[in-house]
Amino acid sequence: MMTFRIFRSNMGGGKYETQMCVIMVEDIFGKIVAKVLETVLKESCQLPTLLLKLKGQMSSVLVKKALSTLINFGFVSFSLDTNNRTTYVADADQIQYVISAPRACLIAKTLHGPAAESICVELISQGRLTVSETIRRIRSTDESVEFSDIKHSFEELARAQFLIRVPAVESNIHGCPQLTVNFNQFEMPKNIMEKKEPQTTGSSSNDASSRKRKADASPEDMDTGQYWRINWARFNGYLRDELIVDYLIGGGSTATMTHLNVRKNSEEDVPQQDRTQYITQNVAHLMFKSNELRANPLSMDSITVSITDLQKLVRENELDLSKPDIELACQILVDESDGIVRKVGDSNGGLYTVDIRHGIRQICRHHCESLIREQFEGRAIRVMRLLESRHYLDEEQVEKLSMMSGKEAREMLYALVEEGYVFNKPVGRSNDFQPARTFYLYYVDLPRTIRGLVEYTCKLVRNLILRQRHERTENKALLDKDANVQPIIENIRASDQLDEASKLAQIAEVEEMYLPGPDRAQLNRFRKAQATLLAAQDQSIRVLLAFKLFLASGQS
Amino acid sequence: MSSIKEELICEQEAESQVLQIAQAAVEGIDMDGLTSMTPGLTQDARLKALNALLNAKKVILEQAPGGVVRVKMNSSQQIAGTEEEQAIYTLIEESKNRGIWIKELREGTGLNQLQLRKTLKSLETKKLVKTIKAVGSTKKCYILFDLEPDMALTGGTFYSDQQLDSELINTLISVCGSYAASRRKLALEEFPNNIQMQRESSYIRPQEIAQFITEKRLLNVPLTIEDLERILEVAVLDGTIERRADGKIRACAPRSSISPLVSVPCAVCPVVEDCRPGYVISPQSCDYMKNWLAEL
Repeated sequence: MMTFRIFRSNMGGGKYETQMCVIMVEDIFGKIVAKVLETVLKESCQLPTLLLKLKGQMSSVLVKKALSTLINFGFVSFSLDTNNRTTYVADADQIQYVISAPRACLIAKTLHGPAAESICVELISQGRLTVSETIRRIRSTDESVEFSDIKHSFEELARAQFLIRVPAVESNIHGCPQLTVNFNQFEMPKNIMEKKEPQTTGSSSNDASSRKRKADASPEDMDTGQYWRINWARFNGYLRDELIVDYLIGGGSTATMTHLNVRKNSEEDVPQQDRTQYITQNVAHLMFKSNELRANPLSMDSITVSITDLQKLVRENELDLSKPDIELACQILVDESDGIVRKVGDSNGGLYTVDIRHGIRQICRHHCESLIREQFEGRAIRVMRLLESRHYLDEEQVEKLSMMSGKEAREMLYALVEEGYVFNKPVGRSNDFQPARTFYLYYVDLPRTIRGLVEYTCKLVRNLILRQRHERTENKALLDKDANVQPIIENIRASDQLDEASKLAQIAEVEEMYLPGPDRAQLNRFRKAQATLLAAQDQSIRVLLAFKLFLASGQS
Repeated sequence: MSSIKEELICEQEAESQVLQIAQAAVEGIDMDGLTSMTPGLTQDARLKALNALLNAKKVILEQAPGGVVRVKMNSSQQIAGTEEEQAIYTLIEESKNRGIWIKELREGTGLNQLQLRKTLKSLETKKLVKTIKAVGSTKKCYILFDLEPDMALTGGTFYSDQQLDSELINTLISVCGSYAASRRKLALEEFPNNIQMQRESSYIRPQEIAQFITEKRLLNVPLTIEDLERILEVAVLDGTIERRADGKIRACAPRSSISPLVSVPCAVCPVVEDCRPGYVISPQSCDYMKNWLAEL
């Protein structure tokens, strides 16, 4: 838990961050839970205070139910304050994982196969589950999944620290449950395995009767009370690595996941001209892989890796990379990474370091510059970089060094100040700060800008979610119709009496009857819009992650 | 007779002596200095010689700061004109190509406004001096007619008509960028398998670009290496080229990816500040969003 505290303490949730979280929760649990969350998010408080604040809006039973739901999903936590009262605290970061959920599932699937994806889906949708419950739930939706497969994937995920045990309740002080502290939730996978071993053997010893057990759904699992949840910090660590790899190889951000797929299981069709690109990508990824299981997934320490280490990793991952390939890739990375990858020595065939802090900073700068380019023009970036490298400059210096006319430079600076990318500092020659006797020095304060951008990104995501919801309600009638038609079409497809041609004809007829052309076009448009909105949300949350990591790293 | 002759010779000698001393002292020499350096002359003879030289306009008297009068070689060109004209002309000449401001002229000559204007006018009509405007100010400066004004006044190569020639600068920046990029591409093709060589030969010296620009006659004035350095400095800021410690430059690897934030209309929305759910401007009723989603 400590990591989260540290991670969070650097940023107070702003207005838009709160709004974004409330809207997300509203989408999942409805208005009542969202209202409770909003109240807790605005100010952490005790239950009586919370009840008082919500008096007249909902019954105390509902408030308690909502709270327990929120706690179950980790959106709200509780602890004793100095006066021994149980205080409820909302965790905005935890709520934002709702949007990263699909990506997390994709990561699990890419790395550990489809069963791992199902496990993640179950854990995300239920908040926390025991191993047996998870397996039972997966089997109930898809009978074809092998029990051992799920168990194996679960083990793998736990070993990779993607899943984590929820601490058990140890005792009760002043009515506040105390959680096991010495519990090894951030422990190395071996320990998790040990903890997990008895319960899995427990369920597997019952393997013969497991079907029967499922049938009567008895709660007498061996691992009852040993709950698991998604280890978001680990997923975030992975996402962070992915962001940096993306930046290093300069690929489109959507392409990376598929490239990672390629990395895992194919050497078959790599086009020769993309060979260098392929090598660089893999080596960049291996550099991060070497440091995958770190004590703190969001640690900002640089990764140091030698050529020998990389060769070992290549063998482990069965990649088609020779030593010269690796050396070449390292050289390219050093050459083109703006100082993120550096060579630090010659031991073990060559020692390289990946500067995570610098990487995150570069990514944030990149987003900043991208926004500036869109809002102003290329020359605004010139001014920005100039100020960044030369620190405090006055208008005239900016004008000279950026080779712009006085008027342009001034207007550009004012616009940048207004949008919060550049700040100015008056230095008075006299105490009265009379404008004629005052220098106005301009400078760049990236953390300050990024703090503004965090809020801005939250607003953007909020808008996206609202729009998505709006689109859904707008097209509700159409969606209902579609939901009615789909079973009919399924039936036709499944029927044995008809041959292919007449099936198609019937399907077309049904579609035409229930969903005429314009409706279907509208439905397609709606689906496309939904996909776009979801993708945009996912991307924005990734950017938000980069921003927050930057702020948490505390560099200026 | 002989005494007069002697006296004449004496006078000539005295004159040449004083002239020599004045010539040796670049900054001019004051009367005390002159006295101590010409011990062989009487006070009378020295004054006579000095007067003769002054009349012949071989030397001039100049009031140095602090009120000391110094004798100095008359280096300025003699113009046919009044005393005032000559005084002003001398001052303007001394300012060389940096130009001199009218206020400084008034202080230097002690003439009043009216006289000064009249004299300057006559000098201008004689095409002996001209006025120029310094860049970025409305200050009028006088310089000699046949002199080119200093860089500080004109702003240098990148100014035309006291205005920064943005067009020219942008062209030069893009020329530098594309030249470096083409060299980088060439290097990649030349050494497809040797990354070390690729890198080495994609770095170029700034002089090469200067030569390229001169050869292609992109500029009708000669481009100094300092000017080019300024352009390159800006190109580095723009991220098109990068500079190595030894001053060589090369094109940066193209970084095409843009932030995903930019693709959402809110990024450039002019009314994003007023956007609130349930109000006139809201994500639900947003036309930008509508168009964005319709385009896809």
